[in-house]
Amino acid sequence: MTLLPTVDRRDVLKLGGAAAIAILAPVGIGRAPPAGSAASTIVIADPRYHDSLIFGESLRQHGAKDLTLASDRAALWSQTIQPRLRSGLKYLAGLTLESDLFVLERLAEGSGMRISYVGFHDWRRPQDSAHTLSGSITLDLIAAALIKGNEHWARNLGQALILIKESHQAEERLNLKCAMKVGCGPRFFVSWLMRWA
Amino acid sequence: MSLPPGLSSPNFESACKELRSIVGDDWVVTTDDRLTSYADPYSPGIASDYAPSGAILPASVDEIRAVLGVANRYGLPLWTVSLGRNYAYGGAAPCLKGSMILDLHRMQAIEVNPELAYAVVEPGVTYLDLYKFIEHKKYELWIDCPDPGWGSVLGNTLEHGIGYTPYGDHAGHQCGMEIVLADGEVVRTGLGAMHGNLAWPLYKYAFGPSLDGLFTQSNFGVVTKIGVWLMPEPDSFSAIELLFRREEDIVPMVDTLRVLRLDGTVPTATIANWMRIAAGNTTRAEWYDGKGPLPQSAIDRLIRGMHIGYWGMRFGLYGREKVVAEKRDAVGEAFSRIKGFGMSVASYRRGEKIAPEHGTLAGIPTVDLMPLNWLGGAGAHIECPLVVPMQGAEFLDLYQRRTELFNAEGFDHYCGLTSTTPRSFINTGSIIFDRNDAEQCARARALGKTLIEDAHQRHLAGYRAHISEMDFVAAQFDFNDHAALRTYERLKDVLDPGGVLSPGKQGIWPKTLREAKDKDSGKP
Repeated sequence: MTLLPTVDRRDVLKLGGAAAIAILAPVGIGRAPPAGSAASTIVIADPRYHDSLIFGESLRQHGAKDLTLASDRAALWSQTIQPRLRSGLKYLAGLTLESDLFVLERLAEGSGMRISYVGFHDWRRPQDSAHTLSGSITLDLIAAALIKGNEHWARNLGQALILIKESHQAEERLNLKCAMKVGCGPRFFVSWLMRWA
Repeated sequence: MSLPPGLSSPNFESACKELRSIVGDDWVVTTDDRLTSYADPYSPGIASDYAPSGAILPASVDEIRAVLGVANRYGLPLWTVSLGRNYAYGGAAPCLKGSMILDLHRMQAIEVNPELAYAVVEPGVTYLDLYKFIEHKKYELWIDCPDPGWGSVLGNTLEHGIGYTPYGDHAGHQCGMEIVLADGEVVRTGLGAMHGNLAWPLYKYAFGPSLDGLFTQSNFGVVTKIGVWLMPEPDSFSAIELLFRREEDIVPMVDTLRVLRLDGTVPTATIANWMRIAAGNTTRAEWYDGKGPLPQSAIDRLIRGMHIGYWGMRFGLYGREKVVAEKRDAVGEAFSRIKGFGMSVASYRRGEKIAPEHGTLAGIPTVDLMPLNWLGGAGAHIECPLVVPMQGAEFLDLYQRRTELFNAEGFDHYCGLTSTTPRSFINTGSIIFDRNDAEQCARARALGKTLIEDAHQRHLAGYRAHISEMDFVAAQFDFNDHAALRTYERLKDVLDPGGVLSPGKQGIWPKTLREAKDKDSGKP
């Protein structure tokens, strides 16, 4: 699938200024991740979907631990993710179906988890795609990755997530001229980032 | 934040101050950011109509009693939840806007008797908790859990929830209950009415009337403890999956299953139509690009592409190996009369690792919500599951009518049948929608109401409902000018004269609010 670079409408509803702290990799793509950033990140990939795997790989290349979304989500949480909270896990990221985010949010309730970012990526319409981004990070980087998108949109999105910085709560909506043919995956993904203090 | 009806802001603040003195500052919640977790996550666009004013989280029976004292003095309505995971029916959100959530999730005691095979649990115990507790203790016991299994054992049981093992009728396997009444009185039901009775969680009945049922799906008290029976781990277990090709096969399927259920060959069984099977494994967009419900050609393509049937049936067979083998043969022989049927069997001996896809048949909790991705977006569902007789021809007629109704609102028909008792099914008809799409939300609400009305015309009714439909469903129970509801109201007025406990639950309103009910909306 290709995201053509034409932007029909870019509606910045609220966009705050960025704080000075980069979250996952303040030194940028291609350089070694600092201790306590991407190295303390788990990224979840859904093996059914190529884009999800690409996204996971892009974060793994920067030091994140990648996990395959297991059919037993409860076990994935309690046996793999939860124990790592005690040993320094700070971020959990994913490009998944929406229900997986819903489930993980609720499993993480009470553990001090905060949602830093959620992006809805919607190709259900035949002619274009809609992206709704929200969170307390610099959304411009995510938006730019999508606008610039090509068949590597999932990789670009992952790489953008490496560079994001903390910010005020904001929301951006993008409509991009692109289409996805029937049979090319679920045509609706959610990218997301959870963090623990 | 929504204030409770009839309470001024200073009065509400004063009540909260008293509540904080009982449970501590951290356990009274009134800020919007912390109250979001009590909103209905699957609300079809009407969450603000059911917003709570706050939440209070007591940790003991004594704290609940003190909280009720404050609530009665201020006229503060409380909406009791165990964990608030009653998704599709409102989650933690109250029927009456401005109610304060009485959140019992801090009460998490578990006691298991491995010899007599029962557990006693408090409201905050999830199915995952109970499963892990038993696993940790290495007890050879199985639980029965709904799907997903992250909710409260007590909460699901009180709501008449169901599961997939022979213990799938949760209220049927509940035994013994502790309740705090609105005036603070603590009551134990059944044999628990005798101090220290040894058989309280073992035998449902006692000397005098059975009270337990009055406190399920009701607002007559706050249930703080229940006993639940557990299933001894069987020597062997076979997961049976059957496939049937044609829509009309449902007639002999149901009629054959009924015989096997009644003679005890098959325990709890579940039937799913193509949509329920597909939605658990794929999304609509992978098969069809057009608007409206899937046309038959797309359904046929999906069925072929996924190698599924129009219908699937699954159940477990449990017991000693020879017994299970005999039952498997009986099942195969009975269903082989239906042309084109397929059967697959996965068998396990005691202690063998059970594949995730068979987990719920063995009481292993899961949290997969894949069907909600069917339409994409932020998936949600509401429903009002019907109780239907286990008769094939009658069910086919109902199924085809409901397909028409789903399709008329632009939805694909998601249909499931679960038989936890041998003579009837719970017929789930999940209305799956994108909760961020206002137009879809409106259609989901309209379809929900239509399905309930249509069922009533067929002399059928739902056994659970979303908070927005509780009055509407209650109104369908119309024998002798709603004598049952009027009886509930008489009990409500006696047991909770201040009307502070879960006003509106299951259509039962306290006297003061009944009189103020708005005729159009059916809500005060």
